[in-house]
Amino acid sequence: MAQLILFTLLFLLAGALPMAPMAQEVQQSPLHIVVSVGDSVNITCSTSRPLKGLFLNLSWPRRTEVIYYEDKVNATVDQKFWGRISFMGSQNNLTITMSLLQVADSGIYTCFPVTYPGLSGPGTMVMVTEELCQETQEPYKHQEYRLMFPILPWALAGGCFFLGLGLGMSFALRTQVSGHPRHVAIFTPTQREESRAGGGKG
Amino acid sequence: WDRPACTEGVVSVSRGGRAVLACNSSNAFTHITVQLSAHGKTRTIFSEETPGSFLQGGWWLQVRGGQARLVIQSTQDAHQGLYLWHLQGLQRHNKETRLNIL
Repeated sequence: MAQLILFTLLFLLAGALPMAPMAQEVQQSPLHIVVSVGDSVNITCSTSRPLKGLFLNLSWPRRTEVIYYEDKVNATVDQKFWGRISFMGSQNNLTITMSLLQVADSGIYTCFPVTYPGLSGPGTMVMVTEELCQETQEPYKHQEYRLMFPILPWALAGGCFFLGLGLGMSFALRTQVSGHPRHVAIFTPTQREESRAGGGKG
Repeated sequence: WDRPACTEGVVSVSRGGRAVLACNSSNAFTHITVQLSAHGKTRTIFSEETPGSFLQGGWWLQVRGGQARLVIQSTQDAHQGLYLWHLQGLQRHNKETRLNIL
């Protein structure tokens, strides 16, 4: 559970970060993706540097190899991904498709071309969510989540802004009201006369 | 997975002493290239299909299965520098070890 929360926070942080392309010797895309159980993801690794082969490793929450690809040589696929991996392209620009994803496949996947000196890609955060909600057995609204994922940080910022605005206005109004008398006595002409008469008696 | 592990960091040996640099892999090596980088120059000492035993200018490379050893019987200044291992088994890996002479 804690891991899921941490993962979600990482995702939100990644979504809030600027998406300006950085000068990387190894390009990797996408940087983050949310998918449902059973879905596929395509991770592309590319570099213009000469390389002997390419690893895609799981870097977090544990470190392990996923695939090794080399042009004109049989690829190595980790047992956990047997039958779920396909390749397109060449080792300098390779798209790795990971299919039939499970929740346990969530993590950060990083490209490591075999170069000297060693290089690595920026990593792809893959979050695989359950297909059914355990309590209601209803499908999660993944599409909505996908839409909310980049919007949520902005929504939070907007919420904070309006909350601050509301508090500010409330304080300003209270200050304005406190400048006037709090209780105003209104005397009708009859009351005034009664008042005078009462005063005369005393 | 090959997951080769090589002698890490810096190996220091007395001049004229014996130096051994090693790499071990879970799978058999099929090709090994050893390069020496020193004084801004890199030269290839061995580039061999393995297994086998290979001799070259005071270096001796022995490879059997997933075990590779580079032996220098009498280490001289010319042997000092950064050794780059290009290892090929089921995958390819690059490793490095520095040899210093005391």
